[in-house]
Amino acid sequence: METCKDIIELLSDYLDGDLPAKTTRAFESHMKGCPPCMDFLDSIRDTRNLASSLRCEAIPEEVKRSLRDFLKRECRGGRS
Amino acid sequence: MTAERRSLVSVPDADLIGPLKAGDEQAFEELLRRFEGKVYGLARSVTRNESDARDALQDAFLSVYRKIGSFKEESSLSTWIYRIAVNAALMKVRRRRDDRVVSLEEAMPRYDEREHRVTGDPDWFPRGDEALLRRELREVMSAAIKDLPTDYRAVFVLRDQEGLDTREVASILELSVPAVKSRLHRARLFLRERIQSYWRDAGRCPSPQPADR
Repeated sequence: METCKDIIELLSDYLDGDLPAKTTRAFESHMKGCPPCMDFLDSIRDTRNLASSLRCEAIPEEVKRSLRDFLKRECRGGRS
Repeated sequence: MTAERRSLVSVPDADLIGPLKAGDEQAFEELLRRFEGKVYGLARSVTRNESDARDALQDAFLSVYRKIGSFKEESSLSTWIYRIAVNAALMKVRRRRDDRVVSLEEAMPRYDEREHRVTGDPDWFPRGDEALLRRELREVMSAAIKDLPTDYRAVFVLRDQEGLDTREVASILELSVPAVKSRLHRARLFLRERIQSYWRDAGRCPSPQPADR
């Protein structure tokens, strides 16, 4: 039977759906009988979800303008 | 919007490459429109510094403009741009010597002699609409990401923050897939521990103790 240490090494692969079916079954079987590992899995999942909430694609108009001004200035000479 | 601009808006990234190589300014503007937000967000995530992010954004697109003519198309256009953007951002971080030596080992899980984890985990993650708590968590997470060594930070940001898949991250960073997975796993463990330590130090969760089995 896998130890908690073995299981924790597999957490990310499990969350990312990268474990083979047989290993997934062993992983889930351990989880059913091990609340601390289940808590740990939840906390890693929460960590990952929190990271995605930090994602920011909004770019201020002023940053867009400076980017274009910069490129106009720097690209006058054309490509190297 | 001109007819030419409208037509570029709907073309796939791959079909922009030819006009870009030919020096078509409309195509370059379309490229900016598609990628400036992504590159800016990525640069902010990697540098955790607004001024550096703006500089990295400019450096990245200047490189794109200058190098598009020699782009060999061995990867997708977006992968190539991400690679340039990550390198521009990492260069800012390294120049600032922000890449402090932080031991990941200290943040790794601890085990007893039977390889059971030594634990005391509370249900530390707020759920529901606790906006203030979520804002606090985001700030803690942001500071913790800044403490990740840059090699791990780049992997974590691309994979978990930007949501790219493992193979694309490997391609962008020119790493093997197992190396990306390993760094990602350790980065997640590190960040989880940092967040929990914050909560513990603030007296908002119990200290670690051997698991009760």
